[in-house]
Amino acid sequence: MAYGDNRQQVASDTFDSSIGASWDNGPGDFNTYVFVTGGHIAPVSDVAPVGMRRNTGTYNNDQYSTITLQAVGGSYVVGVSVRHPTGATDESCYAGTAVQGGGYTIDEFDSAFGVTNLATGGSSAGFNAAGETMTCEAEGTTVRMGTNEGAGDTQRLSTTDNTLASGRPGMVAYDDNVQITAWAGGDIAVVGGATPHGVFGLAIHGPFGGPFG
Amino acid sequence: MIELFLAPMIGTGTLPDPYRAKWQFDPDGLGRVTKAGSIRSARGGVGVLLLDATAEYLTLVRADSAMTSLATPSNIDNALNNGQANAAKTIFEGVGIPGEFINQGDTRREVIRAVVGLFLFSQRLEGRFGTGFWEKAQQRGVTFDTQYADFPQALKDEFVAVRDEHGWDNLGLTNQSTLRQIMKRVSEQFELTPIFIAGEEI
Repeated sequence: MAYGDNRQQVASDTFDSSIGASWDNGPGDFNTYVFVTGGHIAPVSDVAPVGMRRNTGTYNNDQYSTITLQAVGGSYVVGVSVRHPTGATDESCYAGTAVQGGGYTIDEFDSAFGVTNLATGGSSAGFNAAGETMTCEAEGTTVRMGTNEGAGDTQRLSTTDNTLASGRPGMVAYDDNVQITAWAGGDIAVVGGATPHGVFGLAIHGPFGGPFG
Repeated sequence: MIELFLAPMIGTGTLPDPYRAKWQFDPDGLGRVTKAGSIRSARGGVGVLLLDATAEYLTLVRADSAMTSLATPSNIDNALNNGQANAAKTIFEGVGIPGEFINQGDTRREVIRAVVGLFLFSQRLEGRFGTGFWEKAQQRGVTFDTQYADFPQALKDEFVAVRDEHGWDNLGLTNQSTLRQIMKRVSEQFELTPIFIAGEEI
């Protein structure tokens, strides 16, 4: 399936009055988010990175996580994450991010808080306004991220990885100049059976033309 | 310009210095890399690196003896001749990839996808048990030619756990199957898996 296909929301949060009990705020070695008056959340301070994961609801292994931006300022790296395990001290996840003045990234955090950069590309200069959304998806071994700045929700980057197979959606940030106003997450549903893109072709073909020409 | 390489993994796992394939980030910060990504065997292993970069940058990368150029968009479907296949076998065996993955007549795309398939199995092993497949085998004194019957029990248990997680059967392997044969068969289980690196499908 392509980015944006078959999303089925499981939960959402608009942080109207607090960071509620449905979040593990600062799992493992992540620092925490704090509630900001006005119905937003932000990293506790400039001690990167921060993260939190959903701890209620049931999520498929194939899942997505979406944040809605309230504000960014100065130097920032804002992100959204999937496949957080539920272990209390485990901070593993896949994170899609936008880097101020840079590009988009897809990173993998491991249980020892090590970071692997899986992919970097594009220009994230346009991701900076209230109301814009960022989404990270994990479908099988494909991890994608995208934003809706400009013309609709668009994939910005994708990669293939098999380190993390399941978990819960969440969010991350690597800098405190970020405010988030809403979150939503859920499943990527399989419709009519999984299509092996590699054999039957795919809508997106880059310069390598797809796996079988 | 886009090119695929086999590269050593570098980095310390911090945000300023994440694990990544060598040359995945422009070491001089000159913006010569438009996009890049890698699929690794393990954090301390090797990776298939895709670079979309300037011609100057790619020339520097090719000049690094630690790097092996795998393919460009223009040659990825070219078949390897005997000399190319043998040269590649030597390089791959040296970094923990059995030479069985490369044969005269295989296209570069077929070889890359087979290697990535092995890497995806190794990643799952690392995700669950902290170390990639080849590194874990080496730690336990297992070589490419060791038969499964002679694997340490701990390695057998970890292999079986990842097998079961993927819903596979024994894949036609037996107690007399060597590590080479096992690596080839697990790689084949990812034949239909879409492979994306930095947004490009291989």
